[in-house]
Amino acid sequence: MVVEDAHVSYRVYASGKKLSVRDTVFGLNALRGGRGLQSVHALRGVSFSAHEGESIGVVGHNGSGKSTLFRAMTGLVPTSQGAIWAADRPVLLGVNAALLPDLSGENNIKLGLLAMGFTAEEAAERVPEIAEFAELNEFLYHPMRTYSSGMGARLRFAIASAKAHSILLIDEALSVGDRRFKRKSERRIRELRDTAGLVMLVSHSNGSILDTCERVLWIHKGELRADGPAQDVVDEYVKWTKNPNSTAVGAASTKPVSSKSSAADGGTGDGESRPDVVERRGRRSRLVHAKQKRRLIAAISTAAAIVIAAGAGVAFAIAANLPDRAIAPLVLRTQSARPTDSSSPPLVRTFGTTTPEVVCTAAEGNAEAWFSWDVEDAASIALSMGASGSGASEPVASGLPLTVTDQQIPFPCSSESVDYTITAENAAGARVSSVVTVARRLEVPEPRRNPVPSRPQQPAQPQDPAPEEPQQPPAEDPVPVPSDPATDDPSQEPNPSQPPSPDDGDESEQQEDGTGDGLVE
Amino acid sequence: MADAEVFAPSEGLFLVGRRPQFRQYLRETWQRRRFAFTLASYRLVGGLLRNRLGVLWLVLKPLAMATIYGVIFGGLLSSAARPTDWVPYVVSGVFIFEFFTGCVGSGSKSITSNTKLVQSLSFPRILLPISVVIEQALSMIPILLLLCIVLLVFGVPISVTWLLVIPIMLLMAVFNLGVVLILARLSVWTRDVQQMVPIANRVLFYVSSIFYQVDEVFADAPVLLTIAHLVPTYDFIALVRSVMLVDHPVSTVAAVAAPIWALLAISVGVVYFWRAEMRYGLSD
Repeated sequence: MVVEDAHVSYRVYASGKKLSVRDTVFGLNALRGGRGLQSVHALRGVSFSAHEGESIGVVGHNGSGKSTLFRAMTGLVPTSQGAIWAADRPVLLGVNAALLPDLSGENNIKLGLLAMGFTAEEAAERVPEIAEFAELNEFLYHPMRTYSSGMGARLRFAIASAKAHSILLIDEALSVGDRRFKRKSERRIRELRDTAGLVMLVSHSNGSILDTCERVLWIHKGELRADGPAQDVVDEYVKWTKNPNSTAVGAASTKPVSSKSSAADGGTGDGESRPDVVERRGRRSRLVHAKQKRRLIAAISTAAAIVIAAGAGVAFAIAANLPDRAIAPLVLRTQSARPTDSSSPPLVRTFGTTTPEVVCTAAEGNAEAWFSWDVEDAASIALSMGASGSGASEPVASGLPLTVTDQQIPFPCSSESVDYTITAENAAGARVSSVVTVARRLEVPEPRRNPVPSRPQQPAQPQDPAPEEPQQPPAEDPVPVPSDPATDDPSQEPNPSQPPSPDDGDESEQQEDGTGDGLVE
Repeated sequence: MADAEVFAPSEGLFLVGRRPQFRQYLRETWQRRRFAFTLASYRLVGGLLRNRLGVLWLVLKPLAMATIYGVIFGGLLSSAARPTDWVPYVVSGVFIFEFFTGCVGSGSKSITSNTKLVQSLSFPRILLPISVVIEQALSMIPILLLLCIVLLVFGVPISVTWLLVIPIMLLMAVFNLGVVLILARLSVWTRDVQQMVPIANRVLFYVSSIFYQVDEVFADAPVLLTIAHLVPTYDFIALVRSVMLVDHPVSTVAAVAAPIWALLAISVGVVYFWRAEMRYGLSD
């Protein structure tokens, strides 16, 4: 196994410095709960190689990077720089290794074995053996969260050592076990070392390191400070720990020790101009750049998310208004700009009939049609009618008021359909007219005289350069009911075959409201 | 590096901490499938056994949800877009949607809540999201049985097509897995994803035609209707309704979209998840 200039940096959300209350509450970082993304450089270039049959101890103060080194060696944590090579996948056995606290010890054993690649049958076979080694007795069936830390460690060690791994890394796993278990596990480690390959062991107990290992690595502030025969390195380490000037700071400390594998004099060289310092700075600036880039991406994606959310809101609003639109075909809502000039031609705002079809009982006599209109800027209004297509037109009434609702006009049953023309004339003599066609329907005598309402007719050809005014139905227009559209009149605007009734619209709207309320769950 | 005699890495050594080849990854995942199954079943039971009513909660929770929605949207707010077979309609929608919510909710946390497990054992990480989906699928079994009972009680005739629910749910599980894989990786990158998941779930819940008929509401807006038909959760719900209820045919768009969504989600999800395989141990 070869470890070549391994670097590991973590990203952690933490303040990284002491924050005053003011900083926490008002600072920019308060948005993130007062924390920022900190990069922790836990390993700063460790290199060594190890061979089969060796057992290597690793010493160092707390937070020096021992566990990180092990995690990097098993591939649980990627190296940010450098490379680690191995003949087989190394297996880590750590004190932190938690399985699933809610499950019983037995289930954890089974899961651990399955995760290590055993088949279900093998796993079931091995459970009693492992349980026996862990000496859990009746606690085997209790949830793991109820275990003491020593029991947990025993179980984890038992699981991990169940398989003969060629490279086994043990991270302080034995320190919590009691004396009896410690002896047992040390025996097991020696067994593993003899049968398989490489065992590496982190321990703060110099005794057990000297017992089991021939070679020791000393990791100090993320760097390899010494590598050599067990007795020598442990002696140096012990000497350092007794030095009152030595301070145990973590690998993340900003002033790393640059001297490696030198004597344990604790010399922290200035090293401003040293190439590795320069390199480290370059790495740091690259990290900063990457961070800024990530921030930019985050900002852009946040903005995009907001835009999408707004778009969704608009879409929802449109959807919510749809029922209104559903009635819209009945009503041409286009409003024309009202002419302000008094000399402008008159304006026929609306001219429509509530009876696009008149029921006649026979082809003679008269029936009635009802008309409504709303005209502006006119001095006089006249109404005329004539059979459709004939071109002829005879006046019906004149001097009519500007706004009329449901004016009754006679309808000659002798015609197939009749064009009613309203002509508005202003003081200057400009004239505007609008035509509505009413069709006849012959029916056997039946007391059906209800005015069949309909949408107003489209405005007809204006004679003057008057603007083509869209029509608007009178507000009092009765509820339209679908009826058979006129059959053979091309000028007749066909009714929508299935106009949604306003009831539909209202209820849909209500339903949308209901959906809205439902959001408050 | 003074004491380190660094070998040329040529003696049959391989790089640690590099993600495996895609095919090898899938093969390894397949070999350890029992881990996912066992984890799912243990967790399902283990999570519920701490409650007094235990496994009964699997059924009680969706039943309570369906009752609440049924009362609120059926009794208090009335709507024209409501179908005549109101209760079966709502219950089927809520129950099927629950599958999606459950998967996505716990699946997005599948890596971050198991950091210790990820950092101490080495196995294909994809097994964790898979086990979440399996767990949710297992918990769907009693829910589906309950759905059958509810439908029978409210007079929906039993038929052979009910069996088609099983392949539909499997298809939906595939879709869910794809979404879960994407979310699991995203939430390792930034935890904020886990906060957004419930919001997205809410939105999907209301656009998935659970207590209204989307065909009625958007009858006059074909574009919006097509968009609503393309909502993946709606597709699966509509498929289930079409095989279980009477007179709720599924639109062609939805029927075609459902398998496409599933395929798209799973293929994107697996590749996307695999590409970050070696970084999952880094989450704090």
